[in-house]
Amino acid sequence: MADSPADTIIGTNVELTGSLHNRGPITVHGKVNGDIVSDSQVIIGESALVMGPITAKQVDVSGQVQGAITAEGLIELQPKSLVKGDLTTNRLSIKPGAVFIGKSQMLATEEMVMQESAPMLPSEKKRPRLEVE
Amino acid sequence: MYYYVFDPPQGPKEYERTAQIKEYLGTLGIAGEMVQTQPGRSVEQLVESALAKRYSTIIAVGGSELINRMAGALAPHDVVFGIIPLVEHEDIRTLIGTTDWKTAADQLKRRRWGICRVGLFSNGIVFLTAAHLDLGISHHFQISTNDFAIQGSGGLLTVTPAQDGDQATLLVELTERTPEKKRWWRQFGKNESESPYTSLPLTEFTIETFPILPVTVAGIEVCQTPISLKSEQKTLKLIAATQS
Repeated sequence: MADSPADTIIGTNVELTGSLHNRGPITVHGKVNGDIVSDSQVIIGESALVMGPITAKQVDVSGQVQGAITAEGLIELQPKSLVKGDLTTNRLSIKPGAVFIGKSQMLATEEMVMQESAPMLPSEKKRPRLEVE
Repeated sequence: MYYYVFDPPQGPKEYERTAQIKEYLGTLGIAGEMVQTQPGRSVEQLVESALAKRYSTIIAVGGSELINRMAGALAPHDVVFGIIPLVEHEDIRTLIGTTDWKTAADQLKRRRWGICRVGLFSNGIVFLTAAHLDLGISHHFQISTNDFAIQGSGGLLTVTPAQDGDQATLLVELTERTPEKKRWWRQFGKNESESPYTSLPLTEFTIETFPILPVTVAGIEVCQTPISLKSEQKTLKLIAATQS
């Protein structure tokens, strides 16, 4: 009788082929051959292997992804993660030990475009953030 | 006024319990029309009769088959459904908060209902309580939807009618074996790893298994694989414990 979107979890012992779309959060521990789309967060666990693009509000990668990742929020590559594909986001964090092979494109949010059109003090300006530890 | 549909009692003990239930409902002040299924008077016919008489609260007194068949017959109608279970099953406890008939009768008096969903098998059987598929370690399964197919082996597959936002869904969960089964496997030196389970909210899908396996609802086999399932958009007003 819950009224919020249910979580999707792909366990370690299963393999999914096709398009996985969900309004709620998606967590992958197993293998996915196809695209993943969520209106919420996508978490790629340490044991996961995703062969396809990921589009979500926020993406956290600890496993392997071979495909592009697009997020309007934060993309976080954890230590031991391996990403072969392009990243498109406005906030990117790559932790030591993560391997990233591809290009990253930093997006300007609507808020930033609005702010750019309005006069603003230099200290107030927000920019896309890239964090590399 | 309440309308009660009883499972026919089998044996002297069940006759005695039925009499006790009827008496207790009387003392609670919620005794209404009481009927029981019999050849020529199916659950669906009794429900139709109750609706024709404009009863707004219809109660199943019996086992899981009666409960699920009545849920199927009532789902399209705007009435309140109650349950007095006469079987001990965890899925019934999950549904209404108890498997004790006396506690269930007390809940009926309070008439606090919540919206719940039902699922439908392609063979026409409706399920209110969860459907289960017990997969041995070498049993393979495939769940197919219009968008994807998911494959794996082993574990306990459970399908529960649920609500995802304002949408009816079936929550498909693949979990580890029960502790009893884990112990059984360990006796043969097979130690299954504790791995994260699988959980998917789906509206319509097909399950295939290799080999063919039975699907059970509240302990009763209702069909075999391969089978298609879908969520029913119609809701059911179910009387349950407030905490369930």
